[in-house]
Parts: sequence; C-alpha cells; structure tokens
Amino acid sequence: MKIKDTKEIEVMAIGGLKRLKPDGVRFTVGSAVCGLSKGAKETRDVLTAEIAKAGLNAEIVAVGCNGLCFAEPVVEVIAPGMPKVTYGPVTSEKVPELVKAVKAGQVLKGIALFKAGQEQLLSGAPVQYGGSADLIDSAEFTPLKGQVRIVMRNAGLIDPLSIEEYAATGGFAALAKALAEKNPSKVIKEVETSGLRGRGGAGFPTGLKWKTAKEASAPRKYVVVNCSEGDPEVGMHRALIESDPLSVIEGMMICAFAIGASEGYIYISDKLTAAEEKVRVLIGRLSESGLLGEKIMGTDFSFTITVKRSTGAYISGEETALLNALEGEMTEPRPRPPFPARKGLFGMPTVVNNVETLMNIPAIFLKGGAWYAGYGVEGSSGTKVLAITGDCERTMTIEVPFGTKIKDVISMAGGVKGKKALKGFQIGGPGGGILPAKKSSLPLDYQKLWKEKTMLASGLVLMDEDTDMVNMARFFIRFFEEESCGKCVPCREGSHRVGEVLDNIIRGTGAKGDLDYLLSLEEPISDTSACALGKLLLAPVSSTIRNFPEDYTKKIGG
Amino acid sequence: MSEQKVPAFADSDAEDLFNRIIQAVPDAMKNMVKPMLIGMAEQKAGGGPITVDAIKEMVEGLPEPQKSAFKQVVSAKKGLDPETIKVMLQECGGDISALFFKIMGSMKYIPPGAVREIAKQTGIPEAHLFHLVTTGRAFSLFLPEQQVTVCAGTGCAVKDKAKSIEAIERLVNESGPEKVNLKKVRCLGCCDSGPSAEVNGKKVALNALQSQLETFLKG
Repeated sequence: MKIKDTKEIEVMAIGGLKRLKPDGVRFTVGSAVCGLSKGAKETRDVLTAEIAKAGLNAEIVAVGCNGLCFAEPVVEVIAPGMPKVTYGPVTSEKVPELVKAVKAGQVLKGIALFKAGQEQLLSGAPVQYGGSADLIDSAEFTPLKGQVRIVMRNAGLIDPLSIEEYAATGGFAALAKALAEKNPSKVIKEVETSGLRGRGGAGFPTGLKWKTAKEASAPRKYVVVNCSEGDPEVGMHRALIESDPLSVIEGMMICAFAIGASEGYIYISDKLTAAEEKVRVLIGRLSESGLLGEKIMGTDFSFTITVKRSTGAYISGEETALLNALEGEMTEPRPRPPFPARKGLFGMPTVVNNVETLMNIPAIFLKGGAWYAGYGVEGSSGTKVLAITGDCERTMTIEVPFGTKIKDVISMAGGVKGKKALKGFQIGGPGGGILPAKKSSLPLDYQKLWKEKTMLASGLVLMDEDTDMVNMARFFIRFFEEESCGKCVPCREGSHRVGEVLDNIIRGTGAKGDLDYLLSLEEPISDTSACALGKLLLAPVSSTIRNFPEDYTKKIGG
Repeated sequence: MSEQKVPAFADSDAEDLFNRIIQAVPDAMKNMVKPMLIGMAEQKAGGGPITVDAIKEMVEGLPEPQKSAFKQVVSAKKGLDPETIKVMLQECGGDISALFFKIMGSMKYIPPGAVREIAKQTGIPEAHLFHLVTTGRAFSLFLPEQQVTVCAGTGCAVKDKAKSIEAIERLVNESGPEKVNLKKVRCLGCCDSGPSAEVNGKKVALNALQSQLETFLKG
C-alpha cells in the first residue's frame, strides 16, 4: 500500500500484527551472518521440507540476530495456544524432532531455552500468547536477566525486510508523529531531554549535535549514518543493522526532519554485504510505499537516501575521514574545528551518527525523552549494546541500562571460559586500553570510564589468566600500524617505532629504560595527531604497563 | 624450481591477461598448468617478451574445452578498454569508489592500467587514485593465486591461543602477495565460532588452513 497520510501507518501495522501472531505457526530462524555461519540456511531448508511433510500450517521467517550468538542457529516458535518458545542451537538434524513436537503442541526439551508469554512492543500494547509450558521464563534466563532492549527491540523478532512487521511493532509511528506535529524543535528538545550520547566512543551529546546543525543556516544539510565499523573486536553494528535496518532508516529520517535535511547517506563497510543488500532493497520498497522520496506520508517532508560502500579501513569510521570519503577525497581526517555539524559534507551542516545512536531515536521520540532518561545513571542515560567476546563462556550481544556493573555483564555471558580467572578486559576498542580484572566492579558510565582512561565502544573483550598482556599490546600496535592512514607522521611512524620496542621486549632483548621510553611517547604522539586513532595510539601500551607491570618486568628482568 | 621463473611480459595488459587465464584454471591444476602455458606463450612470442597477441594465439592453439574457457577470459578483457571505462564511469555517476567496486566485482582485482586510464579520463591525479585503491582492504591491485582471509579482531586474537593467525601471517609474508594474498578482516561471521578463515571465498578451519598453506607454498 502507498501511505498518503500520517495516520495510515496504523493500517499498515494491523497487517503486520497478523504476521507476528498468525493463525498458524510462525517459525523464525536467526539468519544474520552469525546465524548463517553456524548453519541457519540448512536449518531453514530442512524446516521447509519437514513442515510440508507434516502438513503443518506454518510459515518460516528469516529474522536477524537476537544476540544469543552461542545458541545460533536460534529458532523461535509461535504456535496457537502456546507461549513463544526459543530454541537453540537448532542444527538441521534437530529439525524433524522439533516439527514433530510443535505439531503435537509440545515443547522439545533439550534444546528449548526459554519461553515468553508476551511480546513487549514499542507501540504500547503487547502481543499476548496463550497457554503455558514447563520452561523458565525469558526474564529468568541468565543471559537475558537484566537486559533492557530499546535498540534491540526488534532484533530477532521481525523480518528485517518487512515494512509491515516493522510498523506492527510501532515502527514509523515516531516519524508519523513528528511529521504530523510539524515541530522540529520539539524533536530536538526530546532528544536533549533523553540525554542520549553518541554511541561511537566519544559520547558527544546527540541533541547538542542536532541543535548545532539545525541552527546553522545553509542551503542544504545532510544526515550521514556511520556504518563503517572498523572496531577490531566485533560485528556489533552489523548485527544491529542486519536485524532491524528500518529502525536506522527511521532514526535517520527523524533526524533529517529535525535539522531540516532532505538528503542522507548510509556509509557502510564493504564487508557488510548482507546488510547493504537489505538496505538497498528496503530503500526501493519504502519509496514505493510513500515512506521515502517526495512528500513522505503526504506531508511536505522529502528525503532521499544514498548508500555508499566504504573500503573497510578503520579510519573510514572516523567522522571527518568519512566525510572526505563521501566526497571522493582521500579517506583522511580533517582538522577540527569546523565541526561537521557546522561545516561537514560538501561544506554543509551535517549530522553524522552511528547505527546504535540512530536506532534509539524512534523509541525516544515515541515514548518521550524523559522515559529514556529514566534508564541509566546521571550523565549516561538509556541503554548500551555490547558484544561480549574473547575468553567468555557465552559469546553474545547484550543490551543493558547504563549503571549496570561490568562484572554483572560478564556473569550474563557465563563468566570466563573454562572457569579460569579473569586477568583483564577491554571495553573501549583498541584505543581504550586494557583494564585489570578488579576494575570490573565499575559500572557502565561514560564519566567513570573516562576517568579510567578508557571509553565505551561496541565490545567487551574478556582476557583470561593465561593472556600475555605484552603480546596483546603488540597486537593492538600492529593494528594501528596497519590502519594508520599516514596523514600525520607521529601516528604513521610512531606506531612502527613503538612496535619495534615491543618486539625487542617480547624477544627478550628489551632494556630497562624501554618502559619509560614508551610512556614518554604518549603525550607527543597524542598531541600531534589529527584524529582519535593517533591520539589513542599509545593507550594499549600505557594501560598494560600501568595495569600489568609484572608481564613486562618478567620479560625485561627487574 | 622452473615453475618459479618469472616470465617476461611486453606490457601490463599482457600480464593482466595471462594472470586472468591462470585464474580460470582449477586450483588443483594451477601449479602444473602455469609453466606449460608460459612455455607455450613464450614460443608464440618468438622468444621475446610475451605480448597480448602471443597469448591470444596460444589460446587458439589449445584443445577444447580449455580453448573456449580461456577465450571467454580473453574476450572479457574487452571489459576494460578506455571506452568501457568511460561507460562505467558514467554508470557510476563519476563516483570513483563505486567504479572501483564495480571493477573489483567483475574482475576480482583492479588492473593498474585501468587506474591510469581513469586518471587520464577524469583528470584526477594518479597518486590520488592509487591512494583510494590502497586504503582499506576492499581493493587489490593484483590477482593472487590464493586469496586468504582471516579474522584478526581482538576477540579472535584473544581466543587464538595457539597463535595460528600469526603463524599464517609469517608463512604468507615469505611468499609475496601475488602468490598468496592475506586479507586480515576484523570479523568474518560468528564470533562464537571464531577465529574463522576463508580461502578464495570458501570457509576453512584455521588449523586446516595453516597446513594447506604450508603444502601450497613449500610443497
């Protein structure tokens, strides 16, 4: 259908709700890249065959990733008279048994993880499922206990390519509300009230960024989605945008409406082919539905989106380097100021936000900034998505409110693999350094983590007692050596020199003065580099020298 | 070893064409077929450097089905003459990085000759274009015999207790990128089963890859 009025989005939602809670059975199979790499395609194929064989009135939906990487392929079953049951891992061999159980109205024990009696949707009214099952409730399932899902509200629930299903969860209601109210300042006010900070690492207040761009007078303005995740730990943003690309697009459109932009760019890493494909398909479908292009929902608001592929370098996720790349220039950072919100793409005011930041926006505007600020702690409101990896028992993606202690997040992931002791962890990306285990009592809180000279990026990497921190420091420095764009000499050459000193230490030919020498490089390299990549170059080294001196002295001696 | 001999090509176009023909040979037969084809092409070139014409003549002299398979490669070369580049540039609306992704998609690498041609047509300095091609891991200026991709993200580096990734890196560094090109990516798929690796786009286990590479490079 073509939406000609802001009220018509509700009609679309009704169609979507019938799909989310159908008369027959709905099987959803986690089919993001993570699921596929563990055999989701085979599971889906066998499922199709078995359903036909059993003569079951059922449909199979390929959904995104619900964050339970360790349980992939994840299958959820919604059947009449039953709560929703989540199974995992469902390999293709398990499928015949599963279909048999579902047909008999039973739960297949062994691979059943938990049940859910209802689905909390953004739109307000939850979807109720009937019946009961002898299983723990989703809220009691350890990896999910304590999670609050705002960004991941639709992850693993809806077909990422279905506008109807997205609308059923309350999707596009926020945009419709904003367009009907015709008050861009109110949108910005709500974002400011929410206290949302950019989730890229620097934590800049999003409302302030938008306000700056809105107040700048210029013939054109732009919204850019930074989806060039170069962080070397995790594919967190990939999982998010693959599971729910429409939330990103809606967030982007609300931003465009608020600042007065009519053009947007999605800058997406070349490795994210599946996500890029989805975004391109959706842009076509949205234009057909009157949700993109000229006169959106019959209002005066017009917006177009261009998808552009990045070359996948770490530097292409840096805000100003990204703008250079979009203009066809070399992917190198620009000096700041001017900040992009005043003078960005093609010299025009530009808001650059990342995937996670924008996915918060529809929820914030629909439910109000104060509601969002109710989660988290002072100065760090809302929730944070973290991909937990490294030496953990359960690799997974979680979303918890700010203020949650890091050690609680670690226990959700089942602690350290093989019951070993935790030696250290990294939470701020390569430039965030490595913190010792005792710091895991810190809460997720921008200010408190900054005080520890780290940040809050997209991953939490655990390192067990056997990890050699000098080697880890060397790994990160090699990463910077490979990823430095070469613009600033201190970063380009400094990374190599630091690497050489570390190599000497690892080889056993380090000298006593080496550590002081390394530490003395931090300030000059940081002061003379244009972007965060150079500014934080020494962090992995200085943090490990500070926090794990014994690893170094063991190699250097005394 | 005779097969390690570097053949003399008349120009980069001839080298491009020859490399693409080798790429069309099944992996298992490459080591055997390559020296044979070099010998035949050298013969057609009359002992001088191998030209594009000599390669075409060599292909004509091959038995079927190789002849038609390679002829396809030869005609595909037409894909990058100045006229085609002009058309591709228009299709991309002058967006250079989109053009590079397009060439990458059809040829699996970006011939340096094509970069120069783009520079000529657009007036953008060659240095700028080469900078674009060599930023990040999306593009390659040559067509390696084996394209190896490994996860090298932090999570996987921590999990790789046997240090296989480093060992693979050392192996590959000895060989040179034309033979085995190693692409370190930050995440290939499921972090739970990482570190993952791919050879020519097919998933392989990390330890299997290490022994495979050892045989390929040293055997």
